[in-house]
Amino acid sequence: MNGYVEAGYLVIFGSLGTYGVALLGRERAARRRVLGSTGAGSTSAGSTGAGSTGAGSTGAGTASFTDSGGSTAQAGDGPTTKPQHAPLATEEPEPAPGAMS
Amino acid sequence: MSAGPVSSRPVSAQTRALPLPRPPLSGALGALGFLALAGVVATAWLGLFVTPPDEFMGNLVRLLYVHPPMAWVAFLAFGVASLASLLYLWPRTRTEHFDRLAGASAEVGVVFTGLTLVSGSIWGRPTWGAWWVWDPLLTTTALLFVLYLGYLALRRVPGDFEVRARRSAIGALIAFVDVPIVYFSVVWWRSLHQAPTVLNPTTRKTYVHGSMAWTLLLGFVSFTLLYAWLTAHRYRLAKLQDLEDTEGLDLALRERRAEGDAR
Repeated sequence: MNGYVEAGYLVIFGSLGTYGVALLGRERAARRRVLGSTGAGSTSAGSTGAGSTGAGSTGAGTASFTDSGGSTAQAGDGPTTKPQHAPLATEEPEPAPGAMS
Repeated sequence: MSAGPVSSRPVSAQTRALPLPRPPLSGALGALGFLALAGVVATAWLGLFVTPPDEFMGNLVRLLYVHPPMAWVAFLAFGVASLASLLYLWPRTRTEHFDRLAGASAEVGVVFTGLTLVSGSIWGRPTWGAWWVWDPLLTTTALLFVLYLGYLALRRVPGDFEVRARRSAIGALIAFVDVPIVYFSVVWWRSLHQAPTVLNPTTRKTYVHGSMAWTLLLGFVSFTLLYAWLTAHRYRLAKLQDLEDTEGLDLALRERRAEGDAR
């Protein structure tokens, strides 16, 4: 063979391999960041009530909920953030006095 | 590509319900990745060590097993991006998933187009005596690469989610116009590049046979599987980035609320 064929294969498979590995690394890093910001790591499927406040929840009246599937949602930010599947919380946290609408 | 800074993005319960610890279809995606990897390795092995050299091109023909499959995948990726963009623009099917899919597919398509250009250049040097010639096929392919780079840049322009997604979708459809031009350029104009080996649009014949044909077919299938795997992961990354943007917005809102409490 000549060097061109080997160079072609090397460039193609090297680039695709690098892109694939980088993509997996970015996905893993993003998942870790999202996990950290939602506080999913501090909640468990068996937790009950609004007491399980997420690590990233710093404001008043915000709590993380984890359903049985492991997905997380937060309450306290208005109607769009209500969990869809049977929230574990039994009561809605009251809005803070100075809360934005 | 990332959706970029999102200023007034609607917070959907669907986005919030992303299963973080183990995303759905992880097992299927892993199997797809394994199949793609096995196929690509088999293609490389057959292409480099098993198939015979060509009567005219000699060993250079071995680039045939990777160069056309990558060009095919680039076309497929841009086709999927255009279809997803079209579905996003149609009000009945407008969801953020199609916007994400278009972005993910286009990014993978850009990678494959870039590699098509590079591998073609490596093939062209010993065949034509030049790394690059301003041939219609090469020029329109380079234009395709630039057009979709522009599309990816357009996706990163900050702004309202709806506006950004709509203009990106229109951009993807405009860029796709170049795809048939690339494919038929060897037929429409006098080109240094040879006409398609598989399913020649003029003669409707295939000019590869035997083990070479099977290896080429395996290359097409393997790279298509690889495209699907890469696009699925790019889609998941985009989804996580969107969620991250939403969380950032929520955090900022919570901080403002806390400031309001303190006063």
